Amino acid sequence: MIMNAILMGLLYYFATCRVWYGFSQVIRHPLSLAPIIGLIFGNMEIALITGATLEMMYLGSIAPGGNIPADEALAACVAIPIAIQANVSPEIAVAVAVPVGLLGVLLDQFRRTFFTVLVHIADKAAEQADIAKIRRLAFLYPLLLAFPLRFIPAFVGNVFGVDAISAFMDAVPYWVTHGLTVAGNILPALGFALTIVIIGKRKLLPFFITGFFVVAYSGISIIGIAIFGFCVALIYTHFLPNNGQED
Amino acid sequence: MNEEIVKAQPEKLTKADITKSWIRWFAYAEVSNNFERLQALAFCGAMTGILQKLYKDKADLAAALKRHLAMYNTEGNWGCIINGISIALEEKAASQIHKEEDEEEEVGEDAIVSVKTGLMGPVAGIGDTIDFGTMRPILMGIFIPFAMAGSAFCALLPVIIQSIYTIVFGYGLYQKGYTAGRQSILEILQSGRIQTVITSASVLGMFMMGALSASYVKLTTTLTIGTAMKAIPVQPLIDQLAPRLLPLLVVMGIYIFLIKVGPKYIRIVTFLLVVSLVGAALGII
Repeated sequence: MIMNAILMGLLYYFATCRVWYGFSQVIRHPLSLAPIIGLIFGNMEIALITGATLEMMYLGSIAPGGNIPADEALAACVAIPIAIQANVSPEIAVAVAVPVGLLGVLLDQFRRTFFTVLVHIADKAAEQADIAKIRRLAFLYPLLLAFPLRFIPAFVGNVFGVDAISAFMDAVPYWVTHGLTVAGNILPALGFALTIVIIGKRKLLPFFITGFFVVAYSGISIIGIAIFGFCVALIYTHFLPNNGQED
Repeated sequence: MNEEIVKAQPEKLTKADITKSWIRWFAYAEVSNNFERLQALAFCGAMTGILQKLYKDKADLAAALKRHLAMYNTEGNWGCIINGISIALEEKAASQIHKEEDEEEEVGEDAIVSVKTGLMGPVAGIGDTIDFGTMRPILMGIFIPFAMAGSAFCALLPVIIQSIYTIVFGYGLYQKGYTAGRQSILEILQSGRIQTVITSASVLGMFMMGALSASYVKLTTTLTIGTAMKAIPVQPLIDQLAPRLLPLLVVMGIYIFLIKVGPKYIRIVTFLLVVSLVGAALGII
């Protein structure tokens, strides 16, 4: 129990310390963390289903200017263990993840406010041409400072989260549980809508509608959809004037 | 001893120096991110090895370090080309620094800073659109169903694929920016091929988001119309119109809110939670 909570604290730190660009932007997502959490708690099936459900909500979670809209890593590190241990459905876990993810935003804002100090120390190091110190300020010190900030919330969430959610689910009437399940079922819509906004081309909306109804009417598999989508994309750009270069 | 003779000439930069700088940039880029100057400390940290070789005079080195601590923010993968260009410009500036006064100075401090600040916005626009606006959601979208079906390996594939892609691309752009210089980025940014790639990826992304919305957003109503004696359920009526119309309306509704009102994330999730709970309490969903 405590051991698992410690591991989850470490995992959350690992997922959010931001080392190595390209890797760190994807490892922090619920789908990437789910197999690791499944391994820690010995329940791969529920971990993967919950992680994949969470992932849909955070699909379009892009950080313009570095401001994250929600902390999907903290949401995953708290909600997936709860789904496994408190025996709640993935939909309920998604509803639980929402406030946790928002709390995580505060952590990140604190981190980025606090790290302003580092850049002021770096100004002085630059005056001294102290290269080793600048490197430490850019890497080692922020990594050390981020550790308690990341470890403690995930650890606490795991120690108390399961009992809290179990007690909550036992105490509330059926309609609350049902309402949270409904919410869990429609929250992925947020991820999809956000992704459309980020793609940012309003005149391409018919492709969204096409993809939607191809699945709604036929129930085709996702690989089938990917094949169709790929061909449609190529056909579209091919027939645009100048191969879509002017778009 | 003559002061002029003591000042050593800049060392020549090798490909390994550029590679080391790239490794630092990829490792540091977001670690020290802060509200005041964002990625400035990371950029400066990545330049340290280069500047050390170029500026043998302590005052020159200090000045160079300080100019790279200015506010900086871009998408780190495509942004590699800016790092490469900055290195090329610094090399040129360092070679000019001890020449005769009457020689015209081509690359000054202002030039280096203005190239960085001028490019970081457009490059972030392209990088964010391709890497995180389309590539990551599409990869996730493709492998979510496999993860649902129980494949741990498929759940890990997006992070593996995106890591390999960024390493290959970022490294290439870093070297390219250094060798080809400022002109190269303008050619790349204005080349039609990038626009074609973005358009294709956008179409695929739109198509995938539609397909995933139809698969995974679930909402039906238990609402009935008419009297208690002769109640007509509403859901079959909706289904006759078109399948899964309610989920489509939810996604479109959120989309329109995001466009019209803006990315008010907290307001949207609170609204969805409250509506779900109220709907459940009234027994209509």
